[in-house]
Amino acid sequence: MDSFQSIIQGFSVALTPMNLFFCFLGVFIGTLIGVLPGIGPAGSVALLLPFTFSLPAVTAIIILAGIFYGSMYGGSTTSILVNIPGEAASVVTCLDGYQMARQGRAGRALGMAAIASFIAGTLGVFLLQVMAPPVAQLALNFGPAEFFALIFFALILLAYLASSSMIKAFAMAAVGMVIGSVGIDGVSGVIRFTFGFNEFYDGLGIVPIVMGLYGVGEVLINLEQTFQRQIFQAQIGRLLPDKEDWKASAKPIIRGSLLGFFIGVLPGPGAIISSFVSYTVEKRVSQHPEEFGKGAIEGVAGPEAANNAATAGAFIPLLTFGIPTTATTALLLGALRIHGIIPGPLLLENNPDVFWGVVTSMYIGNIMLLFLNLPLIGIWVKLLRVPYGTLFPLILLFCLIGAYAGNNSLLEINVMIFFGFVGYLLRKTGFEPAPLIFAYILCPTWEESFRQSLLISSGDLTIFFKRPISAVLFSLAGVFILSSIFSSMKRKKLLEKIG
Amino acid sequence: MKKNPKLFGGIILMAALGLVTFAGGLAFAQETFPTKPLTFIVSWSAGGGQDLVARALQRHLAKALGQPVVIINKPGGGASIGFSEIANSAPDGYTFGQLSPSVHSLKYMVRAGIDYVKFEPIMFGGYSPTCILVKKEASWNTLKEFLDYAKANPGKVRMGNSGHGGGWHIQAIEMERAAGVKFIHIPYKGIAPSYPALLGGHIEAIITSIADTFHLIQGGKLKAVGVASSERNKFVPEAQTFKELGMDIDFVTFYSWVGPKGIPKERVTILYRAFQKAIENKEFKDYCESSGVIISTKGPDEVAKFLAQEDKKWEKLITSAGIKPE
Repeated sequence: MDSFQSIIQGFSVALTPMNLFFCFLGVFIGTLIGVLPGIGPAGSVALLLPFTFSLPAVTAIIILAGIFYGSMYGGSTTSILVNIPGEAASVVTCLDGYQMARQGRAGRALGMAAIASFIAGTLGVFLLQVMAPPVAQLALNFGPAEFFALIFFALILLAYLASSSMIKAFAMAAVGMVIGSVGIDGVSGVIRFTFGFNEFYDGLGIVPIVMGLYGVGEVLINLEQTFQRQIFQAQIGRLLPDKEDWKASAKPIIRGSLLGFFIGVLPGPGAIISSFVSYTVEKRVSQHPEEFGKGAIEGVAGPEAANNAATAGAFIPLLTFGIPTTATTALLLGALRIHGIIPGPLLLENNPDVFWGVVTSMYIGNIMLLFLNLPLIGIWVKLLRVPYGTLFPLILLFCLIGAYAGNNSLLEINVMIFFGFVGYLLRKTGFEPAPLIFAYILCPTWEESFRQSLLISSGDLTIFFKRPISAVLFSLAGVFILSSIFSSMKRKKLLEKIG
Repeated sequence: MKKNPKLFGGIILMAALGLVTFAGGLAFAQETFPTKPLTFIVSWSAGGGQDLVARALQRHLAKALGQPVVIINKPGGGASIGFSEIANSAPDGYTFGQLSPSVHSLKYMVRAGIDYVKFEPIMFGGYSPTCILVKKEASWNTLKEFLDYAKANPGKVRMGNSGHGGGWHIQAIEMERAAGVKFIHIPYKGIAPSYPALLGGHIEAIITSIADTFHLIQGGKLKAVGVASSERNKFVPEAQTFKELGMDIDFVTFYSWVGPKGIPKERVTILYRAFQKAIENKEFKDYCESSGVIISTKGPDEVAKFLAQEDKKWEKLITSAGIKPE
């Protein structure tokens, strides 16, 4: 009954006209930010932060949070329509979403992305509401050793990102690993591969790389081919998913939501990582994995659910402990502190209206987003009719703005352009950028976790097996590898028997 | 006129251009600085401790100057990117930025040409001492207990810091020397990733500032077992100082404002007065009070002396810490 009263209290705060208005404004801006390639929630929250100082604390958090989870709805739009991710977290949606668009199923892909995001977002808020403290406590048990084991497991899944040649995928992953090492090594202070550019101390930057490989690279390759776009125009088809799509997507959405939520609680770019992991998991458990990369709707539903659930999960360490795990939540923490609100265990005691007001506004926000995004599908789909000659300069413009908006750095624009050419070359030679990005994100943390673990254990390698969580994860990884080898051996034997 | 539309258009264009230049002339006629918006460079990501102090000040500063003040975040390189940006901007008083002790550590640790002499000091606003934080439930309640434990158990106390060779890491090494103990230094990318590790029991302590972690101290998750200032800090009165225990340790994170070297003296004075007024504002004072920042002001000349002293201190620190610069 106590939590019921809290919910009522929360809704009484969230349903005031002012908070409703700012909630709508936040999710609307978030959707736009998500759609526009390059510009992300972190940049726009930073931009709008000063304007929220004059608002009451709850309202400020409501609008800023709305931008955060709203951007995960819009990110898939350009991924599906033009193979360019609106958000780094929507890279994986390009793989199958764009193929669906080429087959005339753009409306269904967009619809499923929106609905999956809604289900996952709402489920995520619900889990946040009922399970925040125990989940936060569980997340604390993840130290460097556990991260090493977890990332090891995730990297094994990398093999499932490959839709054609496995060797090429691993080559890309190796390149991603090398690129990820650029910058100052936190453990030894050694500066790697910056070639004198101080701007590269913290690495090349995920946004320029993703926007370059997928945004600029895609534009370049399309300009080269006289692209037959009539296919799209003729077969827009249904604007919403049909029964079969639902049957196929139901389980991926549930799996993606749970996966995304728990990965989002952990430190790091939870939305991106969870979307990749969800994609590889769906491909692994699917009855027809060869469909992936050719327009399997599970490849859209799962990852889109995952990245939305991850944003809900990211609120847990922020609200329960006052610990931010992503750039955007760090900004939200700043907003809370400027308003004199202390996140953490005292939040529920001292400012229950803030906590419950924000949580209930997230329910409202997700509903708003569903009703905002579904009708927009008809408009987005018309975008496909715009001649590419007009479209691509706009795309490039937004990529440039997005690359600059991150850190006000002209060098990052150059990085993006460089990776644009790299992306073009990759596509010409049949390599896929996705494993590169996955490795780029994970490998630096993997290395750092390994070395931190050894520092903590004073050089004792058995720390990975002495600690329960990491031991379990390594065993799971071992089982996984063995079962994959086993099943591929079985398949070979079967083929030999037949042939 | 209808007969010759091009001429008509041309005349309008000339008139418009003339008006524009005339307007520019009008601005120059007004001598009082500032006459256009000012740029405030913050060398850290938005939302962090240093950034929030700047943002808390922004509005009041703009009011005091009568012009908008735009904050530009230029993070990276441990603050060296932003610092270089400030030092290289035009010394006309329209661009200034925030400085922290990193200006000294960067000079000796990193080849980025960061040097305090490249800046024109405007004002010193406040500080927050370095502290050692442990979990609230940890068994040590005083600095003496903590250091005694560390002495009796060399290599057992794992101390998280914000990065190898960073300001706090170097200070931790100095603390080891002064106290005769040995920590294991666990570096993180910035201090924030160390909070879950500390809370989860993977490390025993972290070295950071009160202001950076004040919300965690207030929230009851962490406690400061010792502070590195010369007197006890009013925000954590129970925490002992190193000086009390006989060690000459005095480290603070400070917030001060500078421009590129060469700003005309009158403009520096105008900026200084504006900062002074902004700091007096109740809202800013309340923010500092709620975030562990102690307000303590110094004027331009005092700041120059202070920076010179600090520079010598850091030079000694880094050479004795034995960490090679890159």
